[in-house]
Amino acid sequence: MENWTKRFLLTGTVLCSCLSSSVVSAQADAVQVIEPELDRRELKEDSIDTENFEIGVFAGVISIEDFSSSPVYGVRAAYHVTEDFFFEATYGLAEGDLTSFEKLSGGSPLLSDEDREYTYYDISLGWNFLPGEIFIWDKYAFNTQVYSIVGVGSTEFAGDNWFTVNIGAGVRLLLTDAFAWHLDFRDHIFDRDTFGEDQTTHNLEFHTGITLFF
Amino acid sequence: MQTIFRFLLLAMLAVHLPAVADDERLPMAEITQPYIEMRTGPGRGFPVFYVTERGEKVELLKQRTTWVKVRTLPRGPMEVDGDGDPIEGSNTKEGWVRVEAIAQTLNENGEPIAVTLPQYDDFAGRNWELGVLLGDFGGTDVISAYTGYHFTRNLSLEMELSENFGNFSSGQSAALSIVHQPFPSWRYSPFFSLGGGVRKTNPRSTIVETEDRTDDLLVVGGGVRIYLTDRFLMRIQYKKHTILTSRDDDIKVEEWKIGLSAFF
Repeated sequence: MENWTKRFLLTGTVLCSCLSSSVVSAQADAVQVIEPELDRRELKEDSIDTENFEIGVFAGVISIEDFSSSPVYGVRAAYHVTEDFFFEATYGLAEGDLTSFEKLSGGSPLLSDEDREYTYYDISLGWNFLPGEIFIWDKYAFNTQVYSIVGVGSTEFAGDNWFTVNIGAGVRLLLTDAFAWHLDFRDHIFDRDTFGEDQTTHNLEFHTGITLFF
Repeated sequence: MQTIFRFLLLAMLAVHLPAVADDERLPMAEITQPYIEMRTGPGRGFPVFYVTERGEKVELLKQRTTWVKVRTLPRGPMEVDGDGDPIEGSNTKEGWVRVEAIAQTLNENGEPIAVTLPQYDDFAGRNWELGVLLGDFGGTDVISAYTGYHFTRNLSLEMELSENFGNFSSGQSAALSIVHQPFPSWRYSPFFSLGGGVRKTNPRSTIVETEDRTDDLLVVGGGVRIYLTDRFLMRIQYKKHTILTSRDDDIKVEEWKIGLSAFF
């Protein structure tokens, strides 16, 4: 009880003396103490805008083995992990045409129209192995990255889903910081047994597209 | 075709929008090292075109992977073009510097700047993770993509989408699991997971059109997460799937997978 009252009175006195002294000192040092106008801003990590994601569309040609070449359209999304590596997910749509056999024999079609639709998705790892610049005319220089890409995915064709490996390379031209133009070449490899026996098919695709970094 | 054009138009318009509003002040840094090289692009393969000296102040514009785009403060008079109008941006330099170099600079208050540096220490404190796995699902090839959110140091929630390809059937599944890591700060960090989802099985048949079936799925498993470098992780896991079929017996499938993921 005694200690408590002592403590209370002591803190009270100290506080009062502090306040009075600060008031006095402020009045006395008003001329000398300069209050700098500091705009205190905490620089947090996320105040620097990071642009590691990429999203875009592409269009091109795919040569579906045995089923002729057809235009392909799709979307792509990528995440750049380091300056050298990135993850990419692609989804594309194409439609196979008649096989040579169907054209020559004129008999009944081997696949229905629905089965002839070629849909694929893949998830790949890309490696930017040749960064550089491309110079156009006198004035323009664009940053480019030549990359190689390898991935796995699935192809839906001929009424079934096939495990697909894709391997390829491409060029990414950075038109501005946020806008890039791609030229890409890929080989989609999957084993198919539509014609009886297992056959490893190579479906070569060439496409071009634009992407946005955000 | 029309939708493609519309998307292209939107994309081009988005490029013209300014990245930062004019009245918003960009973070600034003061160089404390003897010099910092500025490159034309976000990578070590791009050429160095300018060197900033100690004491020079730069604005931090944006970051891509481990590179930060900076702009020096205006220095000297602006250049004028043929008509006598000043050329915008002619007395500033914009280029890319490594984020480690920026981390050693000071901000306006003389304190070291805090930037995102993916390091081993960050590995334990990561929030989001995404990756791709490849493996064997009961004798068939399987690929999965997953994304995980770490809501505490030990616990995370994962969503995994898989597709498997077999000689007799193929299937897709989606599963949500809780993952527990008892030692998250270890380089080789083991984990246990428990969850459930749905699985769609498509039996393969070349003659008769068979029906796909959708069943519920329970998944339990474990594995090890290995920190590689930068933001990369390798993941090896084993999972036991119990497919709750409408028949009397449930199907149990064992799955082994190995994969690569990134955390951010």
